[in-house]
Amino acid sequence: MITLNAVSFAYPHAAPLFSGFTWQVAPSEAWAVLGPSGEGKTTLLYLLAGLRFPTSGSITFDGLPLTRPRPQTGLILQDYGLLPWNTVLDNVRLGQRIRALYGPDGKHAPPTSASAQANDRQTALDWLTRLGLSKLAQQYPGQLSGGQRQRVAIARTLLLQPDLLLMDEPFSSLDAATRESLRSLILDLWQEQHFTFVVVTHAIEEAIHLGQKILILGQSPHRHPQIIANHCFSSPDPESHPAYPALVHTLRAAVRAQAAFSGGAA
Amino acid sequence: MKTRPQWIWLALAVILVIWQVLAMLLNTPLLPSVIQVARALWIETTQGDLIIHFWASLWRVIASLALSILLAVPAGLVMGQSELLNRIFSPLIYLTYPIPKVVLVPLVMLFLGIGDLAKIVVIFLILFFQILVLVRDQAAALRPELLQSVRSLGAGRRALFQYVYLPACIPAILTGVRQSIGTAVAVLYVAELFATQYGLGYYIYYEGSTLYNYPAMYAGIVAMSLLGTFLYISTDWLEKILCPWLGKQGT
Repeated sequence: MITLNAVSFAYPHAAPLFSGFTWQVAPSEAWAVLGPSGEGKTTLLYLLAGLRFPTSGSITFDGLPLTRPRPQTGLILQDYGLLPWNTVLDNVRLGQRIRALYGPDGKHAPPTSASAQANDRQTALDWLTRLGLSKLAQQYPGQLSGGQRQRVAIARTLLLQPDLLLMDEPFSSLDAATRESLRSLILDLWQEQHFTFVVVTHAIEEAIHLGQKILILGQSPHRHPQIIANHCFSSPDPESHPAYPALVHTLRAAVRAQAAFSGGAA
Repeated sequence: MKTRPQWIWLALAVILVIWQVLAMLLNTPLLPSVIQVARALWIETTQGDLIIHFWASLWRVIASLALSILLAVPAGLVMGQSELLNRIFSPLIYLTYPIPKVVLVPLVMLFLGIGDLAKIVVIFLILFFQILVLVRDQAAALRPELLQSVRSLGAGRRALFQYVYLPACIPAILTGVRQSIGTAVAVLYVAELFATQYGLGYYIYYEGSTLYNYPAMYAGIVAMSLLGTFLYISTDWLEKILCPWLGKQGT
């Protein structure tokens, strides 16, 4: 269970993004965080990842306060974060190499390397095969398409067997066909690996595809979480679900209403 | 910029032909022919001590290179990451960077004496600033998202250094070396005119101005050009070995 307890956050010399914000995420849930850019969506991911810290309030994982990035959390940012000087295989093995460098110290790697097998080259190769990347193993990121880069980032993160996966606008810069295939890939992996999933997006349609529950972040500062249950989620084709049009309407209204309530323009 | 080897050989042939034609036209001891110089180069290398002078010069350049990389890379990385340090030291670099380091030759010798150290320090000053500036800019250009992504995989300072900062600054080091190696060899020549009896600079000056042995002087000039070319080509070669990802952008 992840708990944000009265979290406030502001960047230096900027208006607060969160103010006494309380929110809970249960294990193995899939959440979509929906809202316009610049209103704290990515910051929320950074807070969950332990890369930023609340100015007041606390974030706990199963009751333990978050004081640094957890080795069990996977984070995939919008630009995929691949190292341009490493091949696809070496990029996928980056997490393994970092864990090998520090050993199972509980800070940089999980204390009990439950993933002794996750540290070998074969695991990395298996992931490459699983994501259809095996032919690209010796290529460099500069030679890949956006969709291929996103697959490399997914392989690199999931091979470390995270219990929480955070993704920032994962498919926004990809074409429709690639987006669709990656969406179903990530949902398959979510069902298979049972990690908790939090994805940030500005696209309503994306939120409906990826979030069991949808958290609206309209105009900051955010005080109370506005959560909308997504009844189309488990459907194989959410767009043809009878509740889809109404849900789109509700979400659009919710994002607008929050913006209007705070007196800002969305 | 990619130049194919066959074109380099062709350019070399053209230069040699022009030289040979000029030497035949002018017909003066001040410009010996290619063949005379080649013969002098062979004799001076096998029987004379040109090779000793070559090694003396090469050692000075390599020592300065090692020293400047060793000091400029950490300094550049720190400045590239810390806005505060960059704000403190940047004006200093801004002022000292454009000073032609060759004018410092007499000064450095005055303070450091006539040994190898003074000559190494003079070349060091040229290479150091070039590499420092490029590494600093490279470190500053690393996107915060990339660093956050790698940190999210568990990387602390040590892993960031090993997997991100170090590989990121290798191209910057090599570019710095490539840009400044020509100047470094030129300044080495000047530095070797003073207070030494070893090095190609001394050799060229001594053979030309004291012994009036022009073919040997030209042999020295050729040797010094070879030194510069060798270092330049080595840098390109190292880049190919160490940075295989460069030039592989897009398919």
